[in-house]
Amino acid sequence: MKWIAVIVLLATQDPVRVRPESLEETLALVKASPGEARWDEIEWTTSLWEGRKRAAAEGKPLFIWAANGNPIGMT
Amino acid sequence: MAFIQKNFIPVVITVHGECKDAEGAFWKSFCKDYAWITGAAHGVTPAGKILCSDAKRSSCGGRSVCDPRKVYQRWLELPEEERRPGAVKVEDLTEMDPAFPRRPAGSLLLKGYNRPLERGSDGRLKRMKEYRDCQELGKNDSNWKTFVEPEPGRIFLWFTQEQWKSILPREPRPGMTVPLPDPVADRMVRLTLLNTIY
Repeated sequence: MKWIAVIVLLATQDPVRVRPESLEETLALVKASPGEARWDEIEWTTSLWEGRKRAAAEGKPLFIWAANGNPIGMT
Repeated sequence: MAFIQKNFIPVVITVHGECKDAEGAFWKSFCKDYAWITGAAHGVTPAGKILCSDAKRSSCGGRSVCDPRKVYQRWLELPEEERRPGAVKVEDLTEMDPAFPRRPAGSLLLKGYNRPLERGSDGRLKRMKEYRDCQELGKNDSNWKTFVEPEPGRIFLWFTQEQWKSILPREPRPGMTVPLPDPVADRMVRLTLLNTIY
């Protein structure tokens, strides 16, 4: 799967004009800082059925995070 | 996070309540009438026994998040024959509901992030400490909620093969800049903001 990062900004005041010389600084503001989005540290399985198979085989319970639209954005 | 990773099989999904296949049936088996409710986390055994419900509340009844340590304690209290590896037989999923959305073949997914920013007194951009967002655009638009130190939202733009081939040069190179049609740029930098900032 190919992923290309694209950054989108939202400002509540003046329109944001990101200039090439300040791009890296702005990207750092927008993206998560280390330790900020800790849920992203978990190796989530994105298939309920495959997760169930693994849980049964390994003798573990499932911890299911569900939303209308996949929380990690796969849909 | 390490506790969840070590003791559970962590699964993240779009709600499966409408799926007409074995996976959807499994989801409904423990979520029952609440299968459509979203934004929650559930503790469940491979057999479909919910581990974080009580007499008043289903594990799927509302935007609740199970306490993983309480869930795991309930798991340990189950009989050994329910917990041992291989106690539950799960067959391969041979047929999936064809109505479940799939990624188109040859498509390109763009991953992005967004976060509310504001200008400081020095004119420089900075992260907002608090952000107010209307959660449900109902007739009164009154369900406003304040998010403290909101983390970045994630966006994923799906482009079909035909779409991305129509906007990318035939021989793209790193660092190359190409103009985008206005509707495409509008979709990428404005429409993706909808419901992704929390």
